[in-house]
Amino acid sequence: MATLIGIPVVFLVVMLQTAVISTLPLLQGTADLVLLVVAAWSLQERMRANYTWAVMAGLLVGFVGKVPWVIPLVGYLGVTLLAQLLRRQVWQTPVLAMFITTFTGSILIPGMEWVMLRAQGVPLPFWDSLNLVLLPATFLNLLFALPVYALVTDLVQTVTPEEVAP
Amino acid sequence: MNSLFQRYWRTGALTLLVAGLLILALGGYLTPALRLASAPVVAAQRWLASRYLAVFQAINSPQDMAELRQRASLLEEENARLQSQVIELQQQLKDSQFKDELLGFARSHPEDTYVGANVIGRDPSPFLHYIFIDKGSDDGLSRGMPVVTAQGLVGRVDAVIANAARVQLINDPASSVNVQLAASRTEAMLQGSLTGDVTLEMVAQDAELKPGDVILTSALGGNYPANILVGQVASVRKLETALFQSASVQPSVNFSLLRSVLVVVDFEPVDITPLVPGATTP
Repeated sequence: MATLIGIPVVFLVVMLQTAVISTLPLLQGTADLVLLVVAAWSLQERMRANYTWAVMAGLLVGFVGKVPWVIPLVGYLGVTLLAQLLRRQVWQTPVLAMFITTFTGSILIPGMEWVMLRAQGVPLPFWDSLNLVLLPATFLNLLFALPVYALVTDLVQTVTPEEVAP
Repeated sequence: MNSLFQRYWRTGALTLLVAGLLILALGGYLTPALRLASAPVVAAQRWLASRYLAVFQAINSPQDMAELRQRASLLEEENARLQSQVIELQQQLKDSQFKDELLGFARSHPEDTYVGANVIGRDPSPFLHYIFIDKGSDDGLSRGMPVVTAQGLVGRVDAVIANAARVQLINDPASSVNVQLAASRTEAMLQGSLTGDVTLEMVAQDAELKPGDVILTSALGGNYPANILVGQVASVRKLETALFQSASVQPSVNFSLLRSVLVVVDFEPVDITPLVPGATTP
């Protein structure tokens, strides 16, 4: 079920990311809606097959973008893994877990992109990348974390209504 | 005589009084007195009229108010619809103006064949400056084709699928374009950056470089056709100790507002990789 829902949702989120979110930068940084949705989905108690979403999102972003596909794939899988760990450790405060996951993912994925692009010879000055891309993007991600978490929670509650004992 | 006077003196006095008052009134001498006298009357009349109007409205208001509210809501609805229509038409006008410009550009350059495409997205990575367009290999696009607008050079096709393509903009940090100054024909290299700013690099120290100089593509390297407008020199940085001088460039294209582009489909980029010493051939 989660995988079936994931296909349209991931497509929709990647479309939103490329068509809308990427055109709204803060300095040079943009929010990563895919990261937020993957993190929020992974933190849902009722859902399984979380890694499927990460794989789908990673492959799709890798296919669409110029950055090597392995970066978003590993990044979103890492975020999902962290979310799973946090779900067990801080299960009473999912919002805190969402913020921690978002913050870590916001550093991890662009960080890996930066290293890969530098290795490919793209001139990306470290301090400019940090000040103009990484920090604004992290800020935007943290800003959108809560609304996205609420939306994904609503989606999960809609598709998997709680069973009531007879 | 006396009896006649006694009989009519009151009438005469009254006639004289009235005639006097009339003369005074016609001469305007009674205006202040009339104003003084009329003020309380007018005030009273106003009070009475307002009270009557209030009572009238109170009696008739329910149906009038309901009717007015209904009309107001209908008008608001129509206003909202017209406003959205205006916005939609403005958007269509902008799009058609932009497409007219592109069409004009294509007509003014009949030596090349163009395919028009709409910009449908941007690369998700904030480090890179790439756009996605809605035309692909089905429309004759292939990797390396230059992309332009009526304003000038946009970039070149980096990857293609059947019905979409990814275009590397000239302000991408990994982008380098061989250019020349229109006036002096001095060769240089246009380099993108993380911030999206474009700089002119590798300009010889003895070359004359000044703000306002027009920059065109040079076709050196075989990646772009010659003489496509790129931008203008904004400011020059020249150090006596440096090997080359450089300059910041104002691109002719506003990359953040790109809606439609033209792909030059009859241009075949030249792959000079085998000629580069030390480069591995695929």
